[in-house]
Amino acid sequence: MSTAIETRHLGKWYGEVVGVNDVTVTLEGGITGLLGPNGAGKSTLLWLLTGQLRPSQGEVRVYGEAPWRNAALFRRVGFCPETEGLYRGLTGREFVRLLARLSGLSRRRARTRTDEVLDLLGMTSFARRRIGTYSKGMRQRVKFAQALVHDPDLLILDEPLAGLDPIGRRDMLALIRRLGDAGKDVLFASHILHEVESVTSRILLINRGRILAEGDVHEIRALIDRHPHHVRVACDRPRELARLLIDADDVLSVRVDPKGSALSVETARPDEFYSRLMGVLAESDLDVSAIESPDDNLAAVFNYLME
Amino acid sequence: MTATAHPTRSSSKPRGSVWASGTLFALTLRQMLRTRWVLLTAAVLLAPAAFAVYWSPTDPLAADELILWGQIFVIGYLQFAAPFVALITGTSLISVEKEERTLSYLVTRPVPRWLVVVMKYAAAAVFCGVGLVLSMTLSYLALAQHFGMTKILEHWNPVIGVMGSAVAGMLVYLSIFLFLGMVARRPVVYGFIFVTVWEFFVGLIPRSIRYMTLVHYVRSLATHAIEAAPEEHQFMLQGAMTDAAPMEVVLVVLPTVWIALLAFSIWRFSTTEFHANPDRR
Repeated sequence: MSTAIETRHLGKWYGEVVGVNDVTVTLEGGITGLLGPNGAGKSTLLWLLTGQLRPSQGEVRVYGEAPWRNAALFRRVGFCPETEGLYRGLTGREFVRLLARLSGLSRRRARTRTDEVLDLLGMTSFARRRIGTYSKGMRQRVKFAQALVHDPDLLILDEPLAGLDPIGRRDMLALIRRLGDAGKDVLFASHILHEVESVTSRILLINRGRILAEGDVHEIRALIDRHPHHVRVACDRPRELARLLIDADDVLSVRVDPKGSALSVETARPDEFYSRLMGVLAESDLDVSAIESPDDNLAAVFNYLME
Repeated sequence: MTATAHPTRSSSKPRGSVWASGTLFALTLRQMLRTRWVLLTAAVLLAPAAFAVYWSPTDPLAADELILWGQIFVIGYLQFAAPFVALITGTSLISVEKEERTLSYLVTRPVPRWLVVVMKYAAAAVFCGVGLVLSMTLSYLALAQHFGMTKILEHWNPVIGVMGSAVAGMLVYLSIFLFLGMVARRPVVYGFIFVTVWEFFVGLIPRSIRYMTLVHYVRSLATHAIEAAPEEHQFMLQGAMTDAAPMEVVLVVLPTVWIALLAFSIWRFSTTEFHANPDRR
């Protein structure tokens, strides 16, 4: 029996800038959320776990092995980066198949697995299109597909929901839950607590390169709910959306941005608000291009925890 | 929280390196076949051929036409096309992946990093090598079209020798520019200065300083290759050198530089930290 991820006094500096500092964690398996505001050190930690960075101090182990310059380990690890980088000249199918082949799958197996994962992510009908023509949500799905294609034991996902529409987010979260249920280990980075807690109760809170809290999401949730939560919804008719949302008890304030292309909502109860928002959007014909949660509320909690 | 669901699955043996090799090779070739890259490479390769077509002599072996062979094959290919096509291709091999932020996909796969470098280099070598051979063949046919088919085939030997020298030179330049593309922020600028100032102009200076240039050894290799052909076929010698380095020296210098730079490139790639935000480096 081996531990999925283990770090001891792990540190990484970019010159004078601290990426992560003295991180000691042990993740036995299952789904774990890595939660922190932008710039907290989430990506640095994931790059260290995927051997793209060498630790400045301490050590990191994935299934008992150091990932730095350990190519063989990546048979067991799938990584979905946050970066927008993709081979834009390839079709979605070519891209996923290429990475399946690089993962050591035979030609036939690569073809089969590619079709399976593209189907799983609802990308079959777009698989022949060049990635350069994909929407942000499609690019996110194809990045997820390449991480899954070689059937890894551990999935490391860096902001996998970024750019997805509400339905896409729901589907992706359901898929992550299913992967966890199927016995996969998943480390899932996000700056939105609501997303993380919908797939796991175990989270790591990171800010300014340090792990601030590790454990059950409900304890963190209690802290976070003391602070108002901001949600920005970019859509074609924000005033109409404001009318649909404003009367609820969980909404503290709404504000349409000056360009008239987005609505900012302040809510005291994010869980209820998100559930209601999804229902409202599903029933209306509003064209939503993004739902974002600036991490002011998380930052407030992090500041509280650091004090 | 439970223990990992796959405790017995070993990661100790990398598998599928052969498949990965072919995939990396094909990916790199495909990247190079993108319009902008191909057009630039084709322009460099076709420039000497265009001169050959334009100047195509009616009597290819006339005394006043012989210098043309040397100008096209030695200056046009050994000193211009081979280093420049290597510059365009070599500096881009890794930097394109960095700029497009796709390296993450390559270095988080069960593929040794050295294999990424070697297969990218191999694909570039094939791409540039095929281009050089095709262009030089076109130039030869343009210059020799009035020979007639029999003589065209008879005089083929020294051309093959110069082709081999150009390809050998290109392989060495490619390893230099591959390395430069990994260590320099503006590899094309430094590479351009190296090719034009050092290799071209310093390479023209007589006496010992030219021994410091790579092109001296590439031209020396071509000279020895032409000299190996029957005397009546050595019409290209006018464009070659009178003070060629001995073959033994050429056979030490070129492979040494080639292997050393390729090894440095592999070492550099294997020890470099790659991540999505290069600004943080």
